[in-house]
Amino acid sequence: MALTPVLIIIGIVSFLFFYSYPSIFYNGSNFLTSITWYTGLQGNVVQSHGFSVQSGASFGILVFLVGTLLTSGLALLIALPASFFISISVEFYLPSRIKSILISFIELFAGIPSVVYGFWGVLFLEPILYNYIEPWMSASLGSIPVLGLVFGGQVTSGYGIIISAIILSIMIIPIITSVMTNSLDKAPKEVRESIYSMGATKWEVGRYLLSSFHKSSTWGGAMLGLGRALGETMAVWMVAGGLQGALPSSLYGTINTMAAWIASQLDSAYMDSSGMTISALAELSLILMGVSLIASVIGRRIAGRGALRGYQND
Amino acid sequence: MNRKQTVLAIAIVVIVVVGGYAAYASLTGGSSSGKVQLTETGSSLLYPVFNKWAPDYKNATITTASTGSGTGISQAEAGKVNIGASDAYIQGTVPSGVENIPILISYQYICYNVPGVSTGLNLSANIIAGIYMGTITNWNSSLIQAANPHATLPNHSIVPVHRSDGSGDTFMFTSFLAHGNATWGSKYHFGTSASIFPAVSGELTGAQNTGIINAVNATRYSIGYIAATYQTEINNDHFGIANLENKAGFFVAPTVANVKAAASGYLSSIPSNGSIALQYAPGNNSYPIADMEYVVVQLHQSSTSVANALKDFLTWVLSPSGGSQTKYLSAMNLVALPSNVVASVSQPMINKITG
Repeated sequence: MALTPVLIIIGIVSFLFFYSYPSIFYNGSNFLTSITWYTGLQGNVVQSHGFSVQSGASFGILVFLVGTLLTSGLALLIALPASFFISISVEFYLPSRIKSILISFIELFAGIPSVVYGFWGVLFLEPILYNYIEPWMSASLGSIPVLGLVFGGQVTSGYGIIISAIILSIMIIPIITSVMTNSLDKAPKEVRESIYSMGATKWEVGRYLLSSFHKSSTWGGAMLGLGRALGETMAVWMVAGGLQGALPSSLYGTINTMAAWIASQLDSAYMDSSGMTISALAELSLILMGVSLIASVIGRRIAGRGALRGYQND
Repeated sequence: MNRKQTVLAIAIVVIVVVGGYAAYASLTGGSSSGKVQLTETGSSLLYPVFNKWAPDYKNATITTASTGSGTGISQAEAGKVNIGASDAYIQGTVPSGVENIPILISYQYICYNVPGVSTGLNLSANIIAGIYMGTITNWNSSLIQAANPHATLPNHSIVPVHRSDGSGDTFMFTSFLAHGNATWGSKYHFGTSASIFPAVSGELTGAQNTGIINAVNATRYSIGYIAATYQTEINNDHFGIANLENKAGFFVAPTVANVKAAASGYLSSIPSNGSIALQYAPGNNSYPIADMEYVVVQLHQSSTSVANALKDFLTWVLSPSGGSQTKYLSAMNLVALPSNVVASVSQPMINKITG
């Protein structure tokens, strides 16, 4: 019984290896470096290097790899400082009754299904970004030298990088905040008192605890949040706008992620009777699983077990 | 968790599972009715009409699922379901013992959201292919202006929208482009996968037809392709629906009459295995983006009673007094197959099903 989780992981990995074997050999390192994902001429199966494949097929995931890392990285960039402020104000500036209510609320947020965030993003956030915020960003920040390199560009829709990063950050803020409030709670009373005695304000105490005393737990929380963001599928699929065959051209451009691409391509993969498209999706799943497992393992290693109890990466 | 909580948690799970199954059984008539059960999965476009047929067809219990055409074909071929619904015929060689049987005709709108331009803009395969290849990038392009001499077209870049998921709608749309534009035909071909589309600056994608509708609705200067079954969702101020140039060189509106004309235009060339795209049909009135909808079935079913039930159901589906009545089709803008196609193509295939 105790070995069940280990067996399940080994089972999933071997299953994915079994399916991705043809793709690994057919695509080689091209898989990681090419921006082209083309399933080939439908219905026209040929033999190539000993594998059945639709003619002209070529599978590269660079666009989706970049999209996943970019959106998750930006989400972390937003979520980390936000969680920092939220957890310090909850811990130090609120009466304890309100504090416990707020903490349960934050934990509730972590349980909202991602399709709800996606729905909200499409109907509410997208029009606001498209009609007001992004045109303003492009016109004002985009015209400043140097900053313009990042914020310049034409706004053709509200779907894409910015909305994906915002939604992902909203989804991971509860995870990171919980870890942070937890570690603030656990700080030994003597440490707090001794900093106070040196004349520090509450804010300075909180900042010290999170950025120095409990640094490892803060980074661990961040990595857990990152792990969640890397694998998030539905919400991003709904707001990413979709991108293929090209890398994002500006901050206002559309984007695609590994998880969203796997989910969106499975049905048309069945149309490829050579099975190579399914194989390529399996290889992509393997890589996605590897990337999020690494984030999750690093998070757990840095943070230690206690601080993260109850927060599973999904 | 203490013991009490554990018991409570288990009780809740049991109640949800049993209750859900009971509700399911009462809705589907349970397994005790003695009727043969037929399973259907596949095309999300056909899913609503199967759901209208299922309760009205009394001789068998039909369970339906909306999983996508590729899944429908693959599960029917593997014998996991009796009926695989698909918007496209099987690509390549149809496996032996399997048939794709045409049952209906569907068609597609080209929609746009261009401020100041009303519905009925004239567009052609060359123009639309140019937009989706990135060679026509502005609404005031001379090609669009030439097709619409009286329209005032804005000087604004075009935002092409396509499906992000695998889709029969993408198959129809790209078949239309491949038939109507030589460059598209030789470079990008056609199929259900989103990977067919070349990268175009500013393009958007949407999941499912509703994703396209949302994207076109929310994005000014965009253009997209939407199954005509979504008529009610696209009755919206922002949308224009294009008239398309057909093979004979006329701009035609997407009407049922023009879709029927397209089917008649191809009548003599439909092969006995049903595998043909109806895009770009000959004939002065033929609307150029129409296609047959299919059910994929194994010719050898698990038993004689299942085979007979399947034959009866599919025959009923094709009958003008059965599943092909207007009351099932008109709300979803689906069009019944012409009777001579039923007689010469679909019914002979149905008759080959055995137990």
